[in-house]
Amino acid sequence: MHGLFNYSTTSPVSIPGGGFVKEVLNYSSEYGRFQAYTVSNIVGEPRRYPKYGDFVSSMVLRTYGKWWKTAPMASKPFGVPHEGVESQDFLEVLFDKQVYPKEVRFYETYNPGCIVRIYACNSNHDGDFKTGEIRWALLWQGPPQSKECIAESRIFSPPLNKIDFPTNLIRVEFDCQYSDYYTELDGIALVGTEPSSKQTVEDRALGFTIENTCKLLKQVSIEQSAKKEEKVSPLSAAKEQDIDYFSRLPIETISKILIYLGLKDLCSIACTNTKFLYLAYDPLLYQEIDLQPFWVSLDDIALQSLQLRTQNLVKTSFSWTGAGGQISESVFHDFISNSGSNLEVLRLGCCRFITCETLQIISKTCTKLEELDLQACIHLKPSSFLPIKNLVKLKKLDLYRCSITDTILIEILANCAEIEYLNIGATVMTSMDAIAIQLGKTCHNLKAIDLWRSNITTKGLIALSDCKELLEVDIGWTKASKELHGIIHLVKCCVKLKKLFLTFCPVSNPELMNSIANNLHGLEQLDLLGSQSLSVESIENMFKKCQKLKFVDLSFCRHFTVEVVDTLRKSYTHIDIKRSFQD
Amino acid sequence: MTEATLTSGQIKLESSDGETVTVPLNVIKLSATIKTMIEDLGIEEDNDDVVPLPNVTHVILNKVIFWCDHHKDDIQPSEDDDNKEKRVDDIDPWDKEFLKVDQGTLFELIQAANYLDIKGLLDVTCKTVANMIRGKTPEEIRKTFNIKNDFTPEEEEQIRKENAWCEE
Repeated sequence: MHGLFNYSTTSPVSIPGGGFVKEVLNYSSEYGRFQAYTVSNIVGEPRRYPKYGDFVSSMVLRTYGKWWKTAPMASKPFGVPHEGVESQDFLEVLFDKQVYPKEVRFYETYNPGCIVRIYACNSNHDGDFKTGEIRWALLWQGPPQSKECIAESRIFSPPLNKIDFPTNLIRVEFDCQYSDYYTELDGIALVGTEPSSKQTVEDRALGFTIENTCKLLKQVSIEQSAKKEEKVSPLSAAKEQDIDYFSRLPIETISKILIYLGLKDLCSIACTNTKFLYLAYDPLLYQEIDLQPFWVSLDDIALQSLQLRTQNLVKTSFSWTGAGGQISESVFHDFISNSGSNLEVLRLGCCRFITCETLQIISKTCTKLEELDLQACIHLKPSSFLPIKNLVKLKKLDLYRCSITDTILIEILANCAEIEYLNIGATVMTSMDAIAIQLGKTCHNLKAIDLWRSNITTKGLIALSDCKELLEVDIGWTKASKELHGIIHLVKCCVKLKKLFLTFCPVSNPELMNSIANNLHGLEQLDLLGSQSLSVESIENMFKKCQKLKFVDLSFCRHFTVEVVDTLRKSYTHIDIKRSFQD
Repeated sequence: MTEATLTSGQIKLESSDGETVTVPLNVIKLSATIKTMIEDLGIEEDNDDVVPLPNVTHVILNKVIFWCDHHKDDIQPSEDDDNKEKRVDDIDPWDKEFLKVDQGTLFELIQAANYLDIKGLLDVTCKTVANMIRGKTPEEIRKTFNIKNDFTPEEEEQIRKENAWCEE
């Protein structure tokens, strides 16, 4: 398959056209912070290529593989599965000059093959993001190549679709679920021809009113109820190719067929005739709708039209939508006011159109809400989050990378005592310990907490240990992972843990391994990356006692050489043992 | 009627075109309609009573019985399963082969499964039709199923516009 694409292992040469990345505009997740393994590392010329390995100067996303999908915190899919290429992460980057793209070159320096889509935007900065003017054109898409790729760096440059506008804003989407470890990018180059004269963006005509459809639907519904009385027509002598067999099925039976259709197919069949318009707009078919795959084209018109069908909406995701200003705040507010009262799951990751007011409307309307995902809504001010405290049924709250303050989060947690899943990874808070103390006090149902790269210390960890139902704790890259007794206390108190991430915990030692081995019999995933003082014996002892263990990361642990890890892999075939390297 | 009758007895069914078929009860029990009928009417083993099925031709009835015979020992899905993921790619290979029929037969099977209330057969036939719809444009769907477009050009334009976000 990848014979189709250009490969090269030569050093980067000067790039004609757009050059290398000038600025990162938006992204869904990143592994690092403060320059190491961050998304901003994608800016500028490649530094490591053609070297292959795990480098701090590369761009790294937060997740890979199947492990995150099987962890307690994982987002559960809903609705009819969407067909086509999946993606879990995206990155929007700006280049110096606008060009008609001929090539986009990705310098993949570790675990290549996760890029699945490339888009070009006809605008280039936030100020231009007005409704209806932004267009994202698909330059390329294809399935992930992780499995076919060998462990070598490469320049990935898939054949691109031609587009009719010059661009310097490129969006890349990733599917890392088949990757064996974190994928890393060292640079992106945009190659193309510069435009001779500046093209203007054409306006979209909007001669459209939703009232027309409402009228049509009403009229059809009257006709349909009249038709219900009609007898099913008998087999006629008409030729097979002329018969509309659907007309012989009772309405209820056609509805049974439509429940197996995804959004795209429901929209298509609604366009065939009035009967199907009526049937395919049935609100019962729109109880669980994932709109994320439609982020490119979902706009105000789509939302207004969907609103006719979503009175029974229970679960929905708008994550990634509105990335070009196609969705206006007011239309989304209407949508929530009309369709939000039964909502249990609402995902709004990376949605730029939500504001302080949006969260007020959600907190007033969606009183049944159990899951709210605001991942990477970095534009929201801390005070915007306060209305969440009214959502007292909330079980899952995702604030990854949000700028919320500890006082506000504490107020929310004091009200929402049902919280089971809380992601506050990579948030900037003055005192994560104060939050842990609040959790230990009021949130005893807590099952999973992501404190990735937060400033929690031992004090917080000890408070958190009062949440005995914990199944998942991620304290990777935190101060707490630098002192042993807090972690050991947690391990002794929270014996139900299935996932424990102690990434970069230099104090890990045989005592901690013994404690894990003796207490966490249900442990499935353990990240020990960067544990310098771990001995092979203590790990083997733990492997023997934690029999449910499926995943362990032993990267950058001094005693775990390639040979040692290979021997362990042979003896413990049920455990996926990771060992990353730099050269 | 006893559990024993259900596992060993037989019943006579009469199709809409007047043919009588004798079916073991442990096969036709997959039809909730017939099962209820037997239980409510108290039809006994080896009784000469014939159950008339005015909505099913003998060709379709034989196919339905063939399907039920293959699936008679399946674990019956519980009501809760209605809530599980609506997947269309999980049709078992035997059913796929069984449903390689012309459109007329497929839709008659749906009608029969619906009338006889055979959940498994109704699910799999509905999934098969859903698969025939998947990935097609409105025009292709109309062509495949001979659906007559009764929109006015203005209505059609309106509906297309508000559903355009789903086109790739």
